[in-house]
Amino acid sequence: MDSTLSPVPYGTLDLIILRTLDVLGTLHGYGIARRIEQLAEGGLILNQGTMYPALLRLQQKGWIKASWGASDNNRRARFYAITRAGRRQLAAETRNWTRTVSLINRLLAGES
Amino acid sequence: MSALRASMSRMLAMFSRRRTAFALDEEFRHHLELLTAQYVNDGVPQCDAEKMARRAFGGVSQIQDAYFDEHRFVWVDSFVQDVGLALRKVAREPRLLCATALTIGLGVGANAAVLDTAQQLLFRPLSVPHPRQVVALYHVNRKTGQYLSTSYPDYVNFRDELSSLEALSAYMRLPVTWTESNRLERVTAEAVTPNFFTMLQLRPLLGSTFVSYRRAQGWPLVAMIAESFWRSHLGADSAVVGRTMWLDGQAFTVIGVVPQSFETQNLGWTGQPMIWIPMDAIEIVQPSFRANNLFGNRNARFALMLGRLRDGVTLREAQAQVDVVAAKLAVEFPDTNDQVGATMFPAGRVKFYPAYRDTVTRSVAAFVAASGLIFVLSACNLITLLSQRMAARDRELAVRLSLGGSTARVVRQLLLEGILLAFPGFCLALALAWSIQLGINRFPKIFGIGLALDLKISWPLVLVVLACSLLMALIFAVIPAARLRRVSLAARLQDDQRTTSGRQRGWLRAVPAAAQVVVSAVLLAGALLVLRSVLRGETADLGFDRSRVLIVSLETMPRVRLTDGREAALQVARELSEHPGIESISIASIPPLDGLHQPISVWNGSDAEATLPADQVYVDTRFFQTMGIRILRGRNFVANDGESDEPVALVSESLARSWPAREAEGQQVIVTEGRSARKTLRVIGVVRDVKYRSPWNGDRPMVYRVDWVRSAFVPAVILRTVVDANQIARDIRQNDRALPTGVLMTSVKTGDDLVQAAVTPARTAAWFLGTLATLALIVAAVGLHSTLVYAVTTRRRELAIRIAVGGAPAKVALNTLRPTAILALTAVVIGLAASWVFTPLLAVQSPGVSAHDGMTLLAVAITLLLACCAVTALSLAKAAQTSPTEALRTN
Repeated sequence: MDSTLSPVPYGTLDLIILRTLDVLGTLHGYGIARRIEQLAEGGLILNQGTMYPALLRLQQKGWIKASWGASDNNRRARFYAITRAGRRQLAAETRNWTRTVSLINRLLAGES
Repeated sequence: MSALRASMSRMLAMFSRRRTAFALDEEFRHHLELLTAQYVNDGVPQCDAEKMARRAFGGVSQIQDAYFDEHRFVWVDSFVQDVGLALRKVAREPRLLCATALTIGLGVGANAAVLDTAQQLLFRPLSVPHPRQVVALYHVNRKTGQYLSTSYPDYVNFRDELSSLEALSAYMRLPVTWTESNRLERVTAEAVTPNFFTMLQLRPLLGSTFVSYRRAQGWPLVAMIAESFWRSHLGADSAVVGRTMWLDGQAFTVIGVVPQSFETQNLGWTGQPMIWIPMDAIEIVQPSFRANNLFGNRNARFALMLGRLRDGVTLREAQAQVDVVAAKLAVEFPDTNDQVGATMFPAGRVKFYPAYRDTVTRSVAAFVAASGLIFVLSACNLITLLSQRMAARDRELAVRLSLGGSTARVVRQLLLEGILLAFPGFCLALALAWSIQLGINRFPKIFGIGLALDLKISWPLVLVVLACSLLMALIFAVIPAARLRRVSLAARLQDDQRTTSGRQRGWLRAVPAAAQVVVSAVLLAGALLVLRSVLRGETADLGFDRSRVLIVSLETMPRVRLTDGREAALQVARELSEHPGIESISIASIPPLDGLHQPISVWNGSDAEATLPADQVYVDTRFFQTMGIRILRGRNFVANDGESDEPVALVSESLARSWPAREAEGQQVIVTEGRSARKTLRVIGVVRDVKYRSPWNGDRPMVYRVDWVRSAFVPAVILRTVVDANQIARDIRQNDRALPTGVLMTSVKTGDDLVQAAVTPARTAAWFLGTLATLALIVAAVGLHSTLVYAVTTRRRELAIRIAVGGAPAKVALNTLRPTAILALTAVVIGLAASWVFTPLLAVQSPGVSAHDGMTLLAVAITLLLACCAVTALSLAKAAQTSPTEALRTN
């Protein structure tokens, strides 16, 4: 395995999906996975299928919504979009993440 | 909020699994197609692109599982799976299902019904507010210990002087005839003092109680009616208050309806009261009360007392005050109250005359013991089933655990199986409890006295039955679960190769089987004893020829004032004598085995003090001929004996024996009825003893008289037929035009009918115990057989080796079965000893037979030994068939 690749950090997949949908608007599952790969520039190991349980979880919490529509290749596909509650959650998650990252950065800076 | 939303979403998803799976499949396919297309665009060949897409997507089935784990409640899903598995498991074992259902049904149902009856009879407080304050007060003769009713003057004294009581009421039961348009019916009524319902703090369903009407117009001809009567007889008329009702020819005004929730305070008088009238009304309904000044006579003890303690007063404090009042009355009225005390009981504990408490308690104890034994039997059976199941399940459970099944999941599944097995058991238990209660309601004399029982399946009873059924089933399930820790796959798979573990478990099976033999012995002894009593009753020599006898019971119609009931009966007799096939006809004040008796004291002059208790019957000159009673000495009555200045009597053999040195004929006897009405009679003859009171009791001395007193009471007409009595009974029943005005024919019974009616309570008990004993015997036989067979199968290898090295098959088999067979024989002996203790409890149900009847115990021993021998022989045959080659090969 390529040592430069890292798995999706635990608990961040929800945040990544919410952010992707917030930025790009409505997307189907493949679109979301593709966008994440593009952003990670090949630095993340993500089995694309593992995204679907996460999508269901977010949907159950009311943070995203799903609807069936036609894709570019004219196939029936399920499209996901962020909801207002999802945006609020994204803002909260972003604050948490920033706080955590800065805390870890400070700790690492202190140690060095 | 989002957690709640997620839960709701999961809940809804439980109902759309199939649709979701379809949509997910479509979504995955779409994703894989796009991913493949992307790789193809990047220049990867189609077949490689598909593989790469699958790799990048991840394992589809794992993702689906993860998806569905998010999609619904996993535990609900696994629960549904477990229920399905348990259902299939139970359905695959119908024999086990039936055995468990029967075991639980029998054990729980019989106990629930009997314990509920015991509770209602002996412990349940009255269904009134603050029931523990309600007390019953009975007089007691200090010399004889006999309980007595109260007289009205005594009641007034207690009522006025007992300050420890908030109120004291008196009541008495009386049958009245209710008439409305063409309908006429005998109903049970109670005459009560006006404070009765206020003392009980009972609020009427409609109207008001007697207290409010005491000074109103129409008093005392007012009545309160039971809710059941109001519904069944008056069409639940909401305007019933103020309506006129005819009772014994008098117009009563209905003033209130007593709610159904109130159960009578006295179960000792068969039937719940339907109507309550004020005690002041008795003198109008029954003029004899006024004529004999019964309300002013301390000798006339016709009422019972019920009161309510004041708040904070204990029974002991109230009893102390009762003793003071009773002592005072004894001094003031020595003629009537000397040696008469009074005892107070909590009303819930004396729902029948206290003197009957022993009889009823003993009978109830017998039934509780029988049902308790059935419970033991069921438990033993359950243990036997359990050990069979353990043997069958160990291997399966070990495999499941070895394959990674969690202990909790396996335990849960076992519990579910238990619950599923409990359900049919619960239904069966409920049905059995209901039928037993129905039987007890139908034959209230099963407990020794006629009781006004109205047992029914109540919600608490259903819940208790459910809880007990579940408990039994869960024990059944939990014990194998408890063994899970010890279950090891390797050990289980090797188990068949060993004999020691089989031997150890053999004891677990043998002891319950032995206990079942003991239980069956006890139940069999009880059933046979009661059956023997029934047979004795049915075949008893009654002292009269019952084969062609007919008893026609008569009664005065209400509102008709007969002056001479005897003359009316004679008129009926004359009419009936014209019927073909009648050989002889006679009348008697009380026919034999009628349930009625007229007790008297007889003094024969031979001892200054002693009087003999006896019964008297007024008859006519043809009575002995008609009944087929032999006159042993002296002469029969002749035509003018009844009008003679010196009244004459015939006495029974047992009374004649009281003149040891002299002949009875020509002697004088003085008979006393109650406390007055002494009469001197000259004995003119001695007749055979007749079993007048019951088919088992022939020693009661009898005095037969012909000096009838003119009264409205209509005696019974007795006929002896030439042909079959049943045929003539049918003719008489169908054609009652021969009756004089004002006379009703209440029943026409043959001699056999009389005997059957008398033995019915004993027969019901015999039927009940017989059914239990038969079931017990079958269960015990099956238990013993399976224990013996188990001993053979678990030691098959050992048997095979012993036979292979030259042991005789029969001898080897016998050696194998000997320990269990010895245990069974020991169980028979223990069972006989236990029967010795149990059977005296059935004294009331088995009159005429000694509680330790040798023949019965012998029959029990023979039956059980035969059953044990048969079962052992069957098992022996199976063991002897063991083929060494086959047994060693299969093992």
